[in-house]
Amino acid sequence: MQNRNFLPDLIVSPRFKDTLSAIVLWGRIIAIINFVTIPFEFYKDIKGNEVFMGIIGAAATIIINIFLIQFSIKVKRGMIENDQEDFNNGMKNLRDYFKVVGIFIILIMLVAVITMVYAISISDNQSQYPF
Amino acid sequence: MEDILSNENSMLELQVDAATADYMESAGWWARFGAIVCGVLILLVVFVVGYLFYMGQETSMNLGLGANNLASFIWLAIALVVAFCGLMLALLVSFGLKLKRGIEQYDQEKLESAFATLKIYFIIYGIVTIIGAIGTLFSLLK
Repeated sequence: MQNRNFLPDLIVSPRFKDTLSAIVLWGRIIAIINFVTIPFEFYKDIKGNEVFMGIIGAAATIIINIFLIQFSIKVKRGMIENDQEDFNNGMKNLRDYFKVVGIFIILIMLVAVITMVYAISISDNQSQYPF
Repeated sequence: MEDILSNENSMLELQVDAATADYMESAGWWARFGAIVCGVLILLVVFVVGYLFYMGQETSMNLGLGANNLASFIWLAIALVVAFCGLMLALLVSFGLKLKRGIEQYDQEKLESAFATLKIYFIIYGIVTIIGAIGTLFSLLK
């Protein structure tokens, strides 16, 4: 069993910081763009009479991107101020971001499987009785 | 003297301590898990679309409505989307695996390589997000 309280060899080196800075920058860009496009996407859904899907999509986008932007802000602050706590909290937000995305993917998969079974059953019925 | 200097440097540097390592490892696990589930979902969608498309094509051939060009175009589009998604998912799985190995083996190179992979993933995702946002705005202007 490894002692996880002390990891002597792992540090945030200058090269690691550069990589993290790029991730933080792109994470922020992605989150901001997604926040900005929520109203437009929602308007498109309303126009297409898909209000329910629009609400779910907007809620999912907000939840996912809150974690992403918090990760960006905290890791950046942690690196600038050399604040270990902020850095750790940022990494916790990255974990939560992937966790929420994973949970949403499972939910989408469940809905997709149900829809596919339904679509195949309809298709089979149509091929048996085409007219 | 060198020891003192390296200790001073490590005091100034952020550490990957136990809490950070746990969060990173967990992030890697969820990234891998999400990527694998997403991959299975994409394969399922391709299978069902292919099945429905095959059934539809059979019906249209029976009715004398051959549409080979359209079929080729749709299959090409599906292949491109699947290839792109496959690349993104492979990056996520690679990130998760490298991160796990880096933390388990206390390997700085693997840890940095894992985040370099995540950087590529975020850059591609960012570019796609920008293109998607422009597409959304244009579709509303029509």
